[in-house]
Amino acid sequence: MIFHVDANSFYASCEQLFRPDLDGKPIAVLSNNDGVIIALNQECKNLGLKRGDTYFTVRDRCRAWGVNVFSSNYTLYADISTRLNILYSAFAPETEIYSIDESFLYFPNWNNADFPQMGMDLKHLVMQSVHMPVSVGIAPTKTLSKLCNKLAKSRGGVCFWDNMDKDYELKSIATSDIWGIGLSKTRTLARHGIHTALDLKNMSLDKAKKLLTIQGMKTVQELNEISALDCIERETRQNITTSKSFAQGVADLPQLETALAEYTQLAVYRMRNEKSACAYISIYLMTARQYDRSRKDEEYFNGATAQFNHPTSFLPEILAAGTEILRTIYREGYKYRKVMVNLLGLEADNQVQGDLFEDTLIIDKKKQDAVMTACDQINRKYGRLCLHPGSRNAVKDISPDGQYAQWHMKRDFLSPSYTTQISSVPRVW
Amino acid sequence: MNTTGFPSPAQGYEEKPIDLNCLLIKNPASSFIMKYEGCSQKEEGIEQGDYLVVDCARSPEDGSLAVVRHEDIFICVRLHLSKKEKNQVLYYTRLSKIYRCTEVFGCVKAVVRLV
Repeated sequence: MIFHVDANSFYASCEQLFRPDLDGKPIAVLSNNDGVIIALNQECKNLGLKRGDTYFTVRDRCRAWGVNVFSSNYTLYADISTRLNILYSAFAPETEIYSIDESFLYFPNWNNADFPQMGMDLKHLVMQSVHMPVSVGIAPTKTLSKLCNKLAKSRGGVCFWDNMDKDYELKSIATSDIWGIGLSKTRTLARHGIHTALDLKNMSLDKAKKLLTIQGMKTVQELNEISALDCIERETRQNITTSKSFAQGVADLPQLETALAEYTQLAVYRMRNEKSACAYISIYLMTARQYDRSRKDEEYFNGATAQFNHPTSFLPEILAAGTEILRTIYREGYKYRKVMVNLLGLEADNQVQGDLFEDTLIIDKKKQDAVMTACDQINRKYGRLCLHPGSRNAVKDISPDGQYAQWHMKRDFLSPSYTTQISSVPRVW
Repeated sequence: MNTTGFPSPAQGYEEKPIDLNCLLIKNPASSFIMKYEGCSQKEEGIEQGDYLVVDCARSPEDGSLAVVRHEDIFICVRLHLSKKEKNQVLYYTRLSKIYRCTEVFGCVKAVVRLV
């Protein structure tokens, strides 16, 4: 069984977390440089504002209505997201981080379980531990669990596919609302008289393959409760996850660092294949879950996120940050079962646009690209990970010194970094 | 890293410096650090400027020190279970008035003071 967990109005919920005075009030979050609205809570939607509105055009209305406007505080969002993922890892045998506010939780071969109750338990756990409202979609496939999550939003936050009147639900869902069916596929389907999810489910596989390629065929299979999507498959994904589970608990830091180096390299290799660069890296470290109360002390789940000065695809820089996080969250005396690497904030790995004053930045970037391209070619020719970084201590101090951090970014309404800066922690009276 | 000269005799014996998180934070996912700016908890030994380690994972009980929502702010109080009512209701006192606790943020696990 697969759970799809999605934080409701995530950015707006994060902004509200330490501001009880904003409870029930409209909140809007702006994109980098305060350009457009990228997130808003229900109260704000009720005023008629939408995602994608340019702030410039709605500024006067926001003031008049008393909308609380924030610049995006990714440091805060990443920290809260990390906390959610730590909770998920402790709750499910296997997890996949899909984006900053969405994850898939896997319960392979779990048959006799009260899934709706587990969904409610998870929802309550997250609400109590991090005060984040989430909704949970539960189904045998990823596509259906994502669809159930949409239904859950209006049905108390948890929706279990097997308890639904399946064909009735599918009939009222448009093809464009299904995961993986974009604008062009919607049009193609409409030309063939296929408008609802039910039409799509009943489509023959050979026809689906002809009209929608292999991807679309997998979507049809998924609607028929056959798991077809093994890994994240989306045109532009938002993050890349790799993880290593150890057959036996590992307590030794150097051993964990070696595993981390290997899996960071794998993640970077995949990211470079897609010509992307990442803005953040998260590392998670976890022991096995202890169900026996007397052994609760053997349990430890932690994770943390670091931000790069610039989106990067340069392995030594990424690995240096990852290793540093690992050393920070590592605690002695636990037997670790898994280490997980997550690259977030992916964007196209363009040549850096620089000016007169950033010459060194451009030259560095060119050199790094040359090195990494050569490594990629060697690895492609002689096998994955044939050429790899020496992990321990070898990559210290490579990361740039921060002189070009966050240059000319406009963030007039930035909230404090409540959870990551001791000078900005929330106040209690 | 420079690799010239003799290897340090201490190599292989390096340890991380003592990390106070190990002592103060059991549940990293649900623990938050907050700063106390009030002045009503002197009897509890909490003074203005102290840092509170607040864990949201545990539900508060009778006698718990907790951070709760009071109107539009967070305050730190000692919670007490009502003995009169059947359903478990938590109360706190503020400025010699009794309030029913509606929203708990988390339980205070530690108080950190720089002296």
